[in-house]
Amino acid sequence: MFVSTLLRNLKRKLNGWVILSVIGAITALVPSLYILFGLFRRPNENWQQIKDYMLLDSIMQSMWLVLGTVFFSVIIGVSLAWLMAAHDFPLRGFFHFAFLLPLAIPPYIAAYTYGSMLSYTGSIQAFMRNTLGVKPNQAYFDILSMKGAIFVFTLFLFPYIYLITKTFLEKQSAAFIENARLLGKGQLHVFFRIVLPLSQAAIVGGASLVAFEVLNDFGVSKHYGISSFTTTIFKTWFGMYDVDSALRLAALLMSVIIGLFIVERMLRRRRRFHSPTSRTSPLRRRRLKKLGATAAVACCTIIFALSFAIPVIQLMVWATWTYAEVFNAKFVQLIRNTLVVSMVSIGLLMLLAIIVANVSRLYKHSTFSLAITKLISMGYSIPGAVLSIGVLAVFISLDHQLSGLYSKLGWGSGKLVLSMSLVMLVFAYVIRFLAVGFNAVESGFDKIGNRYSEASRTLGMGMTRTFFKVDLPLIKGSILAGFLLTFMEMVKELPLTLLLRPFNFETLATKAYQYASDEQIHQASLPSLFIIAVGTLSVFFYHWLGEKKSS
Amino acid sequence: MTYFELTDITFGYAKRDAPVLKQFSMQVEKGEVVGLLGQSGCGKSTLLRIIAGLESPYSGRIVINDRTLLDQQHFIEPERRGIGMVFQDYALFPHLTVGQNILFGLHQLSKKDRLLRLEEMLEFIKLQHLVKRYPHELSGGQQQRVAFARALAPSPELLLMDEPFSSLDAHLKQEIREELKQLLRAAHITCLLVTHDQEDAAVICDRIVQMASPT
Repeated sequence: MFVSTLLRNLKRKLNGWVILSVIGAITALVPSLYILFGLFRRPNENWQQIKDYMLLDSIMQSMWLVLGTVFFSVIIGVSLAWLMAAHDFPLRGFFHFAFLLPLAIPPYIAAYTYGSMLSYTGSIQAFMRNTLGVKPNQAYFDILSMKGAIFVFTLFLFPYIYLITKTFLEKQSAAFIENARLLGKGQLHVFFRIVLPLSQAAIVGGASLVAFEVLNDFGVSKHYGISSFTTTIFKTWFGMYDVDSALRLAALLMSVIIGLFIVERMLRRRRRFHSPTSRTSPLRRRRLKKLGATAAVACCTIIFALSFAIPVIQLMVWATWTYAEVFNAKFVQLIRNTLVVSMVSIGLLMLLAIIVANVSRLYKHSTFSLAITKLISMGYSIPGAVLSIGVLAVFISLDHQLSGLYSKLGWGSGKLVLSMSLVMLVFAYVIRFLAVGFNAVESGFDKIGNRYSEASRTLGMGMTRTFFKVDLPLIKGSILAGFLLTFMEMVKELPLTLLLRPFNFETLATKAYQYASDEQIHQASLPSLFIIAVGTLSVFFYHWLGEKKSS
Repeated sequence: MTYFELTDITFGYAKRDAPVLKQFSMQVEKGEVVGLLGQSGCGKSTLLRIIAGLESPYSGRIVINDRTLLDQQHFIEPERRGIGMVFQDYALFPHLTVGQNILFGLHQLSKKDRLLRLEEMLEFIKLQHLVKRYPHELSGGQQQRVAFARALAPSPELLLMDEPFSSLDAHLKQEIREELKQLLRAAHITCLLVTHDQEDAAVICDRIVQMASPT
């Protein structure tokens, strides 16, 4: 190709849309790069101590948490998926929706709810002592432990595996399963020899989501006193004030995550089973007989009770005790803070998501668009604690760079301006949840295809006018969906908010966490219920969207 | 002097694949209706996309009415080419009415001229009574006529039509083919039309260019 042609193409592609997306993608990358460079800095004297006394322990604790949770979530998630996808029994329609609801409860809220319920003075033991007159062994109620954390994580994260596996079974597996049945194979045989191997890719996908969520967690392990990798990072930063070592730990965790990512890709690559024909019929459900149906309903009821009904009812009871004390002008301020900071962040985030999605579809399948979409999804796959440390480090060094400017403006020298303001939190939110908004917008663009915008271009409208006159009205539903999904994630987000908020700035999530860690669990119920309500609304919306698509 | 000229167009979707078009050249005179005939996969629709500016070929030149649209140094964006296109599935904007669809390309005219042109086009395709309808409320033949009017309204220097009959039922085809022929003649437009059907091309076009399949 001639140089002049290259120049021509470059000039053509260099418009405002592309420049903005490149700037956005690079900005989103900066905190992660900053962290990774931490690996190449010289370790300080603290590091030797951390390495000797804390590192191995926290790696093991995190590993057990992840392995335990993934193991039990796979068992529950896959069995439920098989039960729901291939069988019919009373109340199936209700459970179809009910098993999404645990996603509305952030694990840290569930953790302190269960922690308090099962404590010596909690509702369960009090009931046993006062009403039943039994004095149970305390060891049975030891929930503030690794076992307890795995219990909580499993109950509130299994829906990821359940959902992905069920969708796969319903849509893709009918031909194979019906064939096996016709060949006279029994239910168990079908499950172990057909369903499990077929849904491997789906299960691995769901399991890796669960693993990321566990590694991302801060609230559960903190409350249960488990020194997981994330809590160790926090301890190093806030307990030992050792920023360099915290960065180094974060870098290690990030390398693990990237490794996990690659393993997941490799595990799934060759295991993606699709029917050879594009015509797939949905799986026909088998009606369960009396005994089977009763067992199914019982199992489903227990799981639903544990993973939604019981904690929510307990929180409601506590809320009636404490609401007069908690619900005051300060609480309204809390709601306002949560709304304002998330609305500003979502506004910026969706703007960037739309710009990048529009650019990436125009140059579909090119290396450029692949790279840019991977870059902006980065923030979602690294744990919130790691990201927050990256963001904090970047902003502090920015403040140092700008200190000359600050003193010229008369704000005094050596001041931290940016890293003390909401700007930092908003910036972190945008990076963290950009992928959520982007995926929603991208699926909207996928649905309408490129032909409408191409028609508009040939009718004399440039890229920007085409966007406003044609694309925007057609994808506004997807933009709204992205808005809601991001909102749910932001409202319950804890580690980022905790670490990056300005002094005295409280949101619903940080207030709930603060009450809980001050042993004021009952007071935490009201903000928690607000968070769960937002989550439930989003789950409703998500469910409704899915139903609409399938009809 | 030739009105429209394509010279040595070479194009492939990916660098490692064999090019779909290799050194393709053709010429069209003003007012001519030319049919591009060939089997599916021979690159005839791609050629239309290249002419419209929706794809960028490795090399080649496109000149219309003494204006260079594409060569080694220049690439005129689709919105500045002055070339109209009727898409295979029409791509009528689903959120706009028939009237708004036709008005879409007329943003450079004054309001009065725009409405005049709309009237003119509606009368031309005989769909005045459907001006407030949305595309999904129209039959396939009506949709085609709206798409035709939309592309024609800004008076393009060249009109491209991609498989104009492929989305229509077989029994409607003959009637609509005749209708389109009348419309094209009445509009005095230079037109390049892609089809895989020998008969379609024979009925409508002044001249047929047979495209060879890539080897």
